[in-house]
Formats: sequence, structure tokens, C-alpha cells
Amino acid sequence: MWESLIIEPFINALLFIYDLIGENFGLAIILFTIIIKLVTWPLMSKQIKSSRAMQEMQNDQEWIEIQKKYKNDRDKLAQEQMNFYKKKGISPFASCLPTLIQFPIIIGLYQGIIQTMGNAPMQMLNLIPKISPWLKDLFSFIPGLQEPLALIPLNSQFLWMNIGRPERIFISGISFGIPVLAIIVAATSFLQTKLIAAPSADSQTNQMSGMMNVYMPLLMGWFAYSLASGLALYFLASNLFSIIQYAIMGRFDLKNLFPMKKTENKK
Amino acid sequence: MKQKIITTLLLLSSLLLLFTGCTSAGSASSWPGYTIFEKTAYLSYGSQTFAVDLKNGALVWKYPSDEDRSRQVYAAPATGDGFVLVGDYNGSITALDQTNGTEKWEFDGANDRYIGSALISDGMVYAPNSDHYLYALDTEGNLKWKFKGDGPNWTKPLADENMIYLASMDHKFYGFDKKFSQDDLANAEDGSKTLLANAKWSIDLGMAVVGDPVLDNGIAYVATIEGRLFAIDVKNKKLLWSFTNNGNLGAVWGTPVVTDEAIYVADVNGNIHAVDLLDGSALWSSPFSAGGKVISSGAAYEEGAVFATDEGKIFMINLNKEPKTITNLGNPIYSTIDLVGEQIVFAPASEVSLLTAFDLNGFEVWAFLPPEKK
Repeated sequence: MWESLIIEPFINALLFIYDLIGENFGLAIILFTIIIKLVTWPLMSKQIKSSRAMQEMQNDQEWIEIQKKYKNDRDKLAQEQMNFYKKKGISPFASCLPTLIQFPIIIGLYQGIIQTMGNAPMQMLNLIPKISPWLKDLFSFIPGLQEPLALIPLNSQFLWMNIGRPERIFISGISFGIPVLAIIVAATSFLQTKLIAAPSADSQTNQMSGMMNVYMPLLMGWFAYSLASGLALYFLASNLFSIIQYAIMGRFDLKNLFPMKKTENKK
Repeated sequence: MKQKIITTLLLLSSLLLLFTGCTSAGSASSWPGYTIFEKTAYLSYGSQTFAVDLKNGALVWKYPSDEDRSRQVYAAPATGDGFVLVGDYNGSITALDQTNGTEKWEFDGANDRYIGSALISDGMVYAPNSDHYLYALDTEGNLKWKFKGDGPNWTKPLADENMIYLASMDHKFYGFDKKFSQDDLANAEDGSKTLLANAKWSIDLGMAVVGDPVLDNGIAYVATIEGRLFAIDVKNKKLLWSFTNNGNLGAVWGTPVVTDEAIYVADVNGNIHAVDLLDGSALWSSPFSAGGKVISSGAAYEEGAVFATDEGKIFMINLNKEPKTITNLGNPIYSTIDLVGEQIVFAPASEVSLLTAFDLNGFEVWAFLPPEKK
């Protein structure tokens, strides 16, 4: 069910885009990521708004006082928190639901890309039965479309990289390859987490988001370093799109990137 | 506080592991490849290559002696001229001494995976790689020429007296002259000769080929992922016929089995088709359903062919379409099936054995598993 509802449509959509744009798999991955991100835009917007409301709530004086006042009485604290949510019209789960809905889509996109690359026998074996022969008939009004199976093998060359292999740039005089894409993925992941994270009055929350700001980019960078560069492209496109989306929604704060210490004027 | 941070990090790590764990990244990307030469089978799987005695399944040697996680070998080793050739996923091909597995030379000029087996013929090595090149080396590992197609090469080249043939994923079937002269090499900008060579001729098959073709009496039988079997007269560079069984032949992964009376071709839909050698017509009114996908290459016996399904069923089928089940293993079989005397040899890639032999009554004769896996 997972395969037929999510993976197969994603694989065929990827192949369709690939065929449409002249057999450039790197570009197909980027375009497909953007399309999926656009489709899930309303969900993401809702999530951004809800999580921002939750962040702002952390700085609310009334909320802080509730935390302090009932810190030794868990039941009372929970009750007061619920009253606070009601009063302010905040749903604590509103930011979770869009994430839960998006999660299978993101996993499907990720798996779809991996499977479509088909650069090993087992992957190719799984890929071939998933390619729908009717795709060409469905879009017969578009001239020049190929039989989907005839697209195999996909052109895995994109810019300087082989989409099916981890990316490296080799420079004469340096004995090892430089993982440029992995560095860019780590940098954009850092930017994304840094630019969108609003500072909280709660030191615990701040410390945790500080850890995430380091941990997430490193992990994403590691994945981009060790997995096929097609996936690194997806990470990069996804990061850049999220940053743009936050900027469009006015949730992009450069001050988060370069925090300035408050200076008091000495009289 | 510390506990909260650790919990968050653990949760995040688990999610990311789940994220990547949902893919095939961690599992084997192929199945064991093996070749039989005289009384020994040479098997590549994971990071090692094993020489296995066909008499009793005993280990003769292994290379390297310890597992090396940076290395992956799945292409069936090539044998000949006293050595065994092993191509890996890092783009290196290693020549090993056939008797003891010691390394003789290595060629690391390729940029991608060796998935198809190399061919040793008349003192030359022809190694197809996924980087779109076919590499021609001498038996010392020196590159003599290379040919660049438009797609990965996953199939083992074929050879006759004068020519080398390659079925590629770029939809073409190529012919190369064995007696390669300097004139066949392309010129560099400064007028010097490069090692880039041109094919003598090619035939467009319209779809990718992933299964090894077979050469029999001057005819190459090549099947595509579209489900079309071609017969090519290689001497006259002429397509004789193609067979689709009215669209009922599915994608073909294994090598067609040629016997004196027919060609047996199996597809991933689990159907076996018997085809007339002369005109490519179907010899059965409907294909035989194997009851599971057939990925592995079959073997010929006096009356027909032996095949295996991805569900572990090994069976014989004759021209009268009469099947005989040898065994039902339960483990998928993707690798080639071989008939050695009265034994069927295959590589099931199970936890119990990497290579095994059964007699024709379905009894296991021996099973090979590396000592450290037992």
C-alpha cells in the first residue's frame, strides 16, 4: 500500500519531469522537491504559525509565572497550562499535525529519489515494475515524450557530479576529494535552523535549540557526504525552499544569525 | 535539563536513522556473483571473494583475508590465464592468482561500479563498468584501449574468434574488433593517439540490457528490460528476429538458455517462454508460469532448462512444457544456476549458505558459508 500509494506515483512523477525537461535527473530532483514543497505549503505554513505561537507563548509573562508558581505541583501546572491555552486560543498539537501529515510525503520523496536512481541491480530490479507504461499515453498530448522504460538508464550526470554517487571535487595537488555539496548542505541546514529559531525566555529551550543548531546541520552534512549526491541535492533544494518560505511568511530573522548583545547606555 | 537534551537528541537521531533506514542503503545492493572454472567456483559477495571446492563446498582461499567494509564485490569473477578477476564497487579490478588468491595486479582507472563480469579472451581482459566505459587491458593490467558508450555497462562481454561484443544499458549492442590497431583509436587535439576507441558497429535495441547475452553458433541472443528477445547474426551484423510473445514477455534479467531445440527465456513476471531458434516464434501456446519472479540465469540440460524463482523454487522444464520441481528453498535465488555433472549449483545468499549444491532429487550435497559467518 505504501509502495503503490506513495512511492510509485513519486517515481513516475520524477521520471515524467525527467523526460519533460530533457533527461536531466539533477534538475528533475530539484523541480520535484520544489513541487512537493509547494503542494505541502499550506501544511507547512500552518506548522510555522503554530510553532511561532508556541515560541511566543514561552515569552509570555503570564506563562512564565505559571511555570514558576506551580513548578512543584505537576497536576496543577498541567491544569493551569490548559487554561492558558484556552484563554489564548492556542492548540499545543496544532504544530504536530501538519508535521505528521508531511512526514510520509518527505519519506516517500526521499525513497522515490533513491529508488529512481537505480544504480545497483537490487534497486533496478525494484524500479522496473514500478514504472507505469501508461504514463506516456496519459500525457500523449505532450510531443516528444518517451516510453518510460526507455528512459532507463537515467542520465546521472549533473553539473560536476554523478547523481548516484557521493559528491567530491578533486583539485590537483590535494590528495582527497572535497565534498562541496555536503558542506553547502550543512551550511544551509545551519542557516535554516538559525534563521527561523526565535530566542526564548526559557534558558532550557534556548540551550536545546542551540544544540539542535549544531547537531542537525552536522547530521545533514554527514548524510550528504556519505549518501548519493542526488539525495544531497534534495536536501539542499529542500533547505533553500524552507528558508525562502520562512522569508515570504515574514518569519525570517537575520538577528538570529548575528545576535547582538544588548548594551546599556551609561549615564 | 541534561536528560531532556539527551532525550531530544536521541529522538532526533532515531528519526534520522528511521529516515535513512527506510531505504535500501544498508542492505546488500546485489546478489552473489560466481563463476565455475574446472573444479572450483569463484564467488564474490559483500567485500570478499571466495574460491570454493565444487566437490565438497570447502573453502580453498578467500580474498581479502578479512572483511573490508570499504569494498563491495558482487560481479561474478572472471577466470582465465591462471588468474581470477574481481571488479568492485569502487571502480577497481583486481587480478588474483587462481591457485592461492594472492593479488597480482590492480587496475583502478574506472570511476564507477563493476556490476557486470569481465571477460578474459586471447590474452586480453575486457571489463565493463557502470561509468559507461568498456576497458580493454592486457593480462598485466595495462590499459590498451577503452570505449565510451552512453550508459552503464552491466553485462558480461561476449567473444568469438575475431570480435568482442557488448550489450549495454545505453540500448545498443556493440561489436569491437579484437585485433585493435592504433588506427582505431581517436586522435587527441595535438594529433597524438588517445586510448579512446570506436566500436566497429552497433545495433540499436531500443531498450536497456541488464542480463548477460549469450552467443551460440554465430548468433547472439540478447534480451531487454522491455521484454524483447533479439537474435543477432554477429558475422553479418544483422538482426534476425525479435520475440515479445505478443507483449507477454516481461523484463528479462537472466541469460536466455540455448539448447539444440529451443531458446528458453524467463522474465521477471515469472513466465518461461520457449522460442524457436530459427524464426523466433513461440513454441508454446502460452508461457509456463513459474510461480515467482525469475531473475537468475538458467542452465541447459538434455531435455530443456533449469530455472529458479525469487521464492527459492528450482525446477526443470522440457520442451513439452513438463515441469519437475527439484526443491523449494524459501530463500530468494537471483544468481546464476549451473549444472555440474549431476548437481545443481547456485548462490542463494542466505544466512545458511552463500553457495550450495543440490542433486537432481532435491537433496543438498553441500553448502558453503565462510568460516566467520558460521
